[in-house]
Parts: sequence; structure tokens; C-alpha cells
Amino acid sequence: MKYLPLVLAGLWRKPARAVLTFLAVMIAFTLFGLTIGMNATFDAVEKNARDDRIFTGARFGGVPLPIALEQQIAGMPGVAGVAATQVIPGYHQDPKNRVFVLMFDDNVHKVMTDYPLTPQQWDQIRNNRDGLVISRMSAQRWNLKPGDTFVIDAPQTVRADGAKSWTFRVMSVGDDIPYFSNGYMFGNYDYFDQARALSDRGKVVQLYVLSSDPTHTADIAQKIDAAYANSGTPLQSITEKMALDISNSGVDIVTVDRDIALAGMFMVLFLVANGIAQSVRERFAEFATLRTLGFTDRGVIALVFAEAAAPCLLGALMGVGLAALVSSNISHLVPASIGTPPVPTIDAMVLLWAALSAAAVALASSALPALRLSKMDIATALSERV
Amino acid sequence: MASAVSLKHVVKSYRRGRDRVEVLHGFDLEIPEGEFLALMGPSGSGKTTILNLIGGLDRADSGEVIVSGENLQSLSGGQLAKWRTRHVGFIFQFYNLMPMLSAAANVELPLLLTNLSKAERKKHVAVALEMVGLSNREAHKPGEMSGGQQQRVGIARAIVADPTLLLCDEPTGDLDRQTADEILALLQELNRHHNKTIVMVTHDPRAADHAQRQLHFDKGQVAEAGVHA
Repeated sequence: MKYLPLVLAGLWRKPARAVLTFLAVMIAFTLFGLTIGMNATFDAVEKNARDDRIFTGARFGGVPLPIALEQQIAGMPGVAGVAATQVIPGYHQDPKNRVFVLMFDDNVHKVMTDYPLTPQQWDQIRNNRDGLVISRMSAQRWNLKPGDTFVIDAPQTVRADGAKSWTFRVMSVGDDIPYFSNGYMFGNYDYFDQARALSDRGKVVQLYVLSSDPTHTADIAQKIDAAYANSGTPLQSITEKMALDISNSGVDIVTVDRDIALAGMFMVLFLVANGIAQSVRERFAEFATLRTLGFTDRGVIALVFAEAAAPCLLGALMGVGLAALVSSNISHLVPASIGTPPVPTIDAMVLLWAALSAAAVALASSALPALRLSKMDIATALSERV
Repeated sequence: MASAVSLKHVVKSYRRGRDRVEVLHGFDLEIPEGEFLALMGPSGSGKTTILNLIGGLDRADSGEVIVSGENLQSLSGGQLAKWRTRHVGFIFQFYNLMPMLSAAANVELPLLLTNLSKAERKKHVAVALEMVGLSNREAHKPGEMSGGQQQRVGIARAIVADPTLLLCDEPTGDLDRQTADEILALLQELNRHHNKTIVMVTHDPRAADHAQRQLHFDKGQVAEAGVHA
């Protein structure tokens, strides 16, 4: 601590340079936090994905499926259960407040057995047409508690009477599910179905299929698709494991994220390295003076490292903090047309990675100036001042 | 009287391009404890080289450099650095202060390398600044002080760790006559009343007159020696 004034004096020698370097480092680490945090979210989702479940939807663009398929697929060999779901996408009060409710039929609790809802909560969904079970995250976000009313305006999901608003009652609050990084709201499919025009009833957006043998889940998915290949509603089934593995999305987004974070780090490295090299060059005689006062090679090099590390570590801390702030408000920051993006997980691990990266950048950027200082001839360096 | 500095058969050469230039050729020098010695001579005569050797900033090619009882030739770089903190104070022509630090923080620098507490360091700094007459300037940065005041801060920094030996390289070379006299009077006081051994390199005969002994160098040899009353 006693050397802190010396380090700060070195940093603050050129205030504009110090501030700009710090800002650049902070922005780079914000990007780092968001990309690494996004990968952490993908990892958590993939880790929790089940290998005995299949997501089945329409093969060709967003066409709803007849709910009758639920019974038909349930009868296929190797299928242990099928459940149906619909979605009501909309907003709460303001179009910026995007929200969606998943409307579950009575079988969902048999197929989504890993959802942390209690039997009483599943009953609340089943027995209350307008009932909602919501996650803690959603309760916090919308400031809801059991007994509250929650209204969603859903321009794309029109009721039989032409109304576009859907009113729900919050029944209880359940534990969060990593897959739903923005939180969840689960409702009753019958409420949705009965409120729709006759022509729109009996339609679902997705079926959840449970395989009786996890080692044959992919085969069953293929058999389902094959069985309906020439029907009026061709299906596309994919195992949950594969669906939630982001690397199967066509673009290896995890690698892209990592590369973006890496590019940011290189940018910071060059910036800090240039700054610290320039600073050492300008103060070579000052470092020589410190050596005459009794500072050792290592002591002077440690000062240079500290000068490089200070903006890196502070920038990393502030950048990751900013990333956390952006993450918690991401639904407000992203245009409504994009939908609900996944939320980066800014946790202690991301902070640790950021701190390690900052230390590595500081170490790398101070390496050359340190080498130069270690070879310093004090007498010559002092005479250069003249 | 015991020797503060003893140089025996010291040879020192520098590389200039492909050539090797010998600056000191078997040089001998004894400086008793408590002496104020002025080294004079033209540029390149070897006086700054001697100062650097005595201060452990440079190493002799051969011979012995014994300062405060320590053979500097046998010390490693790290040991030399620690030795400098305890035994030597440097005073430079251009003060060599840290421009971003206050006078007090500049003076405190050598004490950072000791085990003194913050309160003890502060006390030592206050004493050193008082000795050089700058108690009221401790919060000022070098840019806010005159050349003479900056040199006083440089002297306070040199004496704050209470070394026995002060090495001054043209300490008045950047100062006007009156300020230079004040600085030299201060050095004399440190020599006489605080028993500091002082070795001062200077081109200025009036500055050298403040020393007890003068050595005039030419081509790495003592050309003339004189004793001042």
C-alpha cells in the first residue's frame, strides 16, 4: 500500500491518456463479460438439457399443429409420454416490457419432470383456467405476488371476441429454471384454447415427447418425423440435448462469442502495452533515479506492472459490472422486433475470468518495458536526462 | 581517521562503438570520514565515473572499491540497491524529483524501502524538510517550486534515511549564484554539523571552494590536489 501514491502518480501523469485507456479497457471488458456470460448461459442450458426428451414442431415455418397429434405420437413405440404447449407472446403495459406465457396442457407435468414445480403448483395450473405459476425472477421483475392480476397485451394472439389482452391471476411463485434465463410464466392451455375463435382451437405450437429409453431418443425423433413426412402437417423433431446445444445452431455462436472476447482482449493488450511502453520511455530517468535511491530491478518492474495492472483490473471490474447492468436490462435495450434474447450469466466465474485476463494483459503489456528496465544502465540513464 | 571511501588500483573502461576507452587507469583514492571533497576537471576526465563507482551505480573493471567498509565489487545488484538505501544519498544537478509527487512524498521515497511505519516515515520527512528550510513547502509539487527549493527537496531526500555519504553531481550547476551559495552553505552545514562525508563533482571553482579538499582530474588521473582551509 505504501507504494500506491507512486503508482497513482505514474498513472496520473497524463490524465487524458489514463482516462481514455481506462474507458477503452472498461468497454472491452463489458464486451468480454457479455460474450463470456452468454456462453455461460448456453453452457448452463446445455448442461441441464435432458437426453430423453424431444421437441416436436411443424417442419415448415410456424404452422400450428393439431393437438390430436399428441395422442397419436403417444401411441408410438418407445414413447413414454407426450405433452402439448402453446405460447402467448406479448407485452405488459408497454411494448418494451416483453413477456410470454407458456400455456401447458394436463400432461406437461408428466413430461417436464425436471421443472422445479411442486405437485400443488402443477394442480394450480391445471385447476385454474387463468392461473399462472411464475418464477422468482419473473416475480421480482414484474413485482408480483400470489393473488396479483397480470395482464398481457398480445397483438398476435387474438381472442374470439377480438380482444388482444389476456388477464391472469398469479397463483404461486416457483424456483427459477436456467433454460428460462428471463424467468418463466406457465398457464393453462384450456384457458387459451377456449378463448380462441373456433377455427383456431385445438392447435398447439409444440409437443414435448418423452422417450422411454434415453439411448434411443434420436431414433424415436426420426421415426416421428418419418411417420408424418407425407401428412398435412410434416413434423420436425429434435432431441432436447441437440436443440439446446448452441453449437448445433448452424453458427458456432460459442466460438464466435469467444473470438469476440479474445479480439477485445487483444485490442486492450495493444492499447495498454503501447501506453505503458510510452510511459516508461518518457520516465526512464525517473526510474533510474528510483534505482539510485535503492529500488531494486524487481521493485521498479513491479511498479511498472502495477501501473499496467491498475487500469486493467479496475476496467475489468467496472466493465463486468456494466455487463451485469446491461444483462439485467437486456429486454429493455433490445428492439422489440428481435424478441426475447437470452440473458448473459454474469456470475463470479465471469468475474474471475475477467480478472485473470486483466492480469494476463497487464503482465504481457509490461513485459517489454520491464525487460528494458532490467537492462538499464543507471549511470547512462541518469546522464540522458541532461 | 577511518576511510569512508577507499579506491585501490581501479580500472574502468567504456565501450564506444567498436572501441574500448579506458577512463581510469589503476586509480587510487582515500576519502576520510567526514570530509567534504570536490572533484573537478574537464568533461570526460573521469570525475563522474568515480562518483558512480563510489555510489555503486557502476562497477570497476578491476581494483577495489570499498565504501563504508563494504567492498562494492563483491555485492550483487540487489545487495547494491539495499546498500545504497542505507549508506548513500545522491544529489543531482537537475534535482531528479518525481514531478507528480509532493515535496514530502519525494523526500519519503528512500524510506519506502525501509521497515518504518507511516507515522515514523512522516516524522523523518518532517525533520529532513526542516533541515533544508522547507517545512512550509511539503505539499508543493516540484513544478510549483523554484530551482533552489527543488534542490533543497533533493538534498532532503538524500539525507532522510541518514546516510553517512552524500554524492553530489554538479549540485549547483542549474542554479544562480546566490541560490548556489545557499545550497553550498547547506552542504557545508551537513558536513560540519551532521558529520556527512560529501563528494561533490563540480566545474565551478567557487563551489569547489566550499570543500575541504579539491582534486583536479585530467584523463583519469589526479592532475592537482589542493586543500582549502
